[in-house]
Amino acid sequence: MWPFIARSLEVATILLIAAVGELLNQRSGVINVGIEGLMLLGAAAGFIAALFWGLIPAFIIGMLIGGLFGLVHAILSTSLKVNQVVSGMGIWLFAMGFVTYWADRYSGPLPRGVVSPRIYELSPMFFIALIIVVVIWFILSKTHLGLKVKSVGENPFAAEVSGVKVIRTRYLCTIIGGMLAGLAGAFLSTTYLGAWSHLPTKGLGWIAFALVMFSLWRPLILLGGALTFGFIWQFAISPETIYAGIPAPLPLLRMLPFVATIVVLTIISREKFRRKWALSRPEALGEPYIKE
Amino acid sequence: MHREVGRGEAILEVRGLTKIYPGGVVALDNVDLEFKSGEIHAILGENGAGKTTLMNILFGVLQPDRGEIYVHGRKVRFRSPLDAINMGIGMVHQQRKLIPAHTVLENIILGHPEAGKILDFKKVRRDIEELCRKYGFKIDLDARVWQLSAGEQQLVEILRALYRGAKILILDEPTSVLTPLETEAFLTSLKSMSRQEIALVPFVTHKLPEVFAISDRVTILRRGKVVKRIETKDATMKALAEHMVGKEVLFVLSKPKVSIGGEILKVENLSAMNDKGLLALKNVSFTIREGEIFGIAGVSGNGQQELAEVLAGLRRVETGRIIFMGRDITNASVLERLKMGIGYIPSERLGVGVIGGFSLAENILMSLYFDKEFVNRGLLNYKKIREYAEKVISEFEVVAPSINTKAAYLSGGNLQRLVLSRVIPKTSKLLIANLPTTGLDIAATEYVRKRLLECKEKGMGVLLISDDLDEVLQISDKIAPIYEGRFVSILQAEEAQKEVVGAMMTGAYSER
Repeated sequence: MWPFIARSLEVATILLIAAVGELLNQRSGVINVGIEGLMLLGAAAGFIAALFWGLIPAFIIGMLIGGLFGLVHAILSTSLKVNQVVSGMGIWLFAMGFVTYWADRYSGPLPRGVVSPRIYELSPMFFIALIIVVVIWFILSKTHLGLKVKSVGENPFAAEVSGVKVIRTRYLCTIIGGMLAGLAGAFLSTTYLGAWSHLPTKGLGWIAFALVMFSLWRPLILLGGALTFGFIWQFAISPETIYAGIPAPLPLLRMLPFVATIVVLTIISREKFRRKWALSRPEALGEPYIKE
Repeated sequence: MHREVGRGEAILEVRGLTKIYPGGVVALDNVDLEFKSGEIHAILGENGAGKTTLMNILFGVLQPDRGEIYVHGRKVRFRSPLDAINMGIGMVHQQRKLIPAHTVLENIILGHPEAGKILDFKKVRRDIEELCRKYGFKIDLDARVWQLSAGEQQLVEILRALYRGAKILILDEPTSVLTPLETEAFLTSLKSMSRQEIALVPFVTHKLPEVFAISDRVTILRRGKVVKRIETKDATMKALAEHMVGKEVLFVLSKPKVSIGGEILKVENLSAMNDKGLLALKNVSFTIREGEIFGIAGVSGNGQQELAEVLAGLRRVETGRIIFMGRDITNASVLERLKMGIGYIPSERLGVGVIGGFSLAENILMSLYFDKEFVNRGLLNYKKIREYAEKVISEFEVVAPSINTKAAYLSGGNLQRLVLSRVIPKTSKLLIANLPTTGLDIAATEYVRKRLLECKEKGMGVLLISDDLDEVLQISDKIAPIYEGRFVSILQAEEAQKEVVGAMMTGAYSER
């Protein structure tokens, strides 16, 4: 039982790190639908770095490449005012092609030497993820920087007349969002999987993206969501650890996390939640800031 | 009402301010101004007089092409609003620049250097509460801004500026969205601020009377130039208005005597939801007859928008019936209503009234496309359409280079004329006018009101929805104050007193 839970918590770690970055990103008004792509890039760069230099450089390089493409998204969506969804999609498509070309030649497991330390079979990265979430929660709810971030996401025009530097704040959040997605990817390929196979994120980025939406943009709700989906994801992969001889066929079970995502999204789209949702949604989400 | 003009110290001075936009439009031409502490110095001007440009320059949003700005006698340059804020200049915007989802407190401290890296809510709360006491303001600091009334939101903007240490407050059209009660409170707070040596600069296009009651000094801008400087005690309202417009202004339109005819519209127990799915219009009943202007007076957001849309066929009826010329049209489509002679002037001119990216002719076409005279078997007869467009555009005095000009380039007054030229000639029975003069300058406002009275003269029924109480009182035959989706009463114009209607539309009065 415990190995299963440890594996679920590691999936939750991936979701949590990526999603909390996206949350910060969206709180500043920039939506990045390319999060799956950022994770792929981070996963590939991290995996290759792990092959040559080891685990710590892998995380750092995963973060850097995530941050780099976060910067690309920031330039496109904040400075060039490209439609944010189009820009994010572009990054995702680019990442799928580029990562296939770049990393598939390294397919296979990491060598024996490069193994993540584990505390009772659980990667310490889980605790780092918790710390990241708490830090971002603290920044958003207790600090002036957080207030500025939220104000830029709600109404950049109001923020500007209060002397907040709108563009700079959005760049900052978009880059940090990218870095965290990259880190999540590197953790996925080097630690959770410990091997490279074709496009290893398999939709985890999209689930992280959906998690942000139904967390109502609150880090602590996000934590609960990530844990739940980590469990569902892991169950879909290895149901026999929980329920030996489960009667459902495996491919059907693999759909579980995505079906669950659709179910949750449907539930929160209902009348009852819609108002609450509309109130929590950053008002200027997805809108470029164009001064008159 | 007038105090001795305070000979305070000049806080802000501008000399020779000139701004020319690309394309050669001179927005400001050599403007000199001086603002003194403790003085209320109003700037008057029509739309296009250069007020917005001047405000933007004073607040650092725009940079002048020529001219100097002095703060406390020292020459300064504002590169951004932050520079202006740091020099003690505060701005109260007409389009509120607040964050609706945040609390009052969060809005006030946003970006304030003293709020600290980790927010010290206790300290800032103490400071702001003290500020409120000093000026006699009352506001709940923990309320979210979207829950506040227009007047309270304005107060938040004022507080934000004062907390930033503003010595001069620029107020853009400060009373335009306030209820009569709020206006009174606002004027009182202006006085208390001016006693604290703060210079106040209201910029005004509409609502002359309020300015007249409160200011010490008035400067009038027209076409980018200062055309008049006068101490308020030496001025008359009519003279001020004429300087603004540059021609004679009729303050009172004469209501034509028209005999009231048969019933056009009968509304029974009408209810409708707003966009959030809450009941916004509750059990409203009334009738409109030929030659009658039925005025609905109320603060925006009390169900007027929903009522207008329900009558125009744009919103679903929850309960009740709409009878038009004896026919039940409760569920009739928009097109059917248009064909029956119902015209609709929406409150959103650009977006609902006209399509900005379309030319004038194309916009006019939108109310003709179903007319056999202009369309033959699905093909548009452009020759006839152009002729018709030329005709109505000149008839309604829309000023534009040609009928091929895009509607988005028109100014507020011209845009509304275009809307009228689309709607009125095709309306034969009932005209629904939702906020027809909001945001227009004096000349355009007068024009629209005249046109409404003409419709009445022709025997049409007019439903006038307005947040300008004076307007409703001036041209309506019947007046219904609306509050929280209900008609508080329906009064004959002759018996309606301004104070009573004003109290009714703000919920301060109920007829029992």
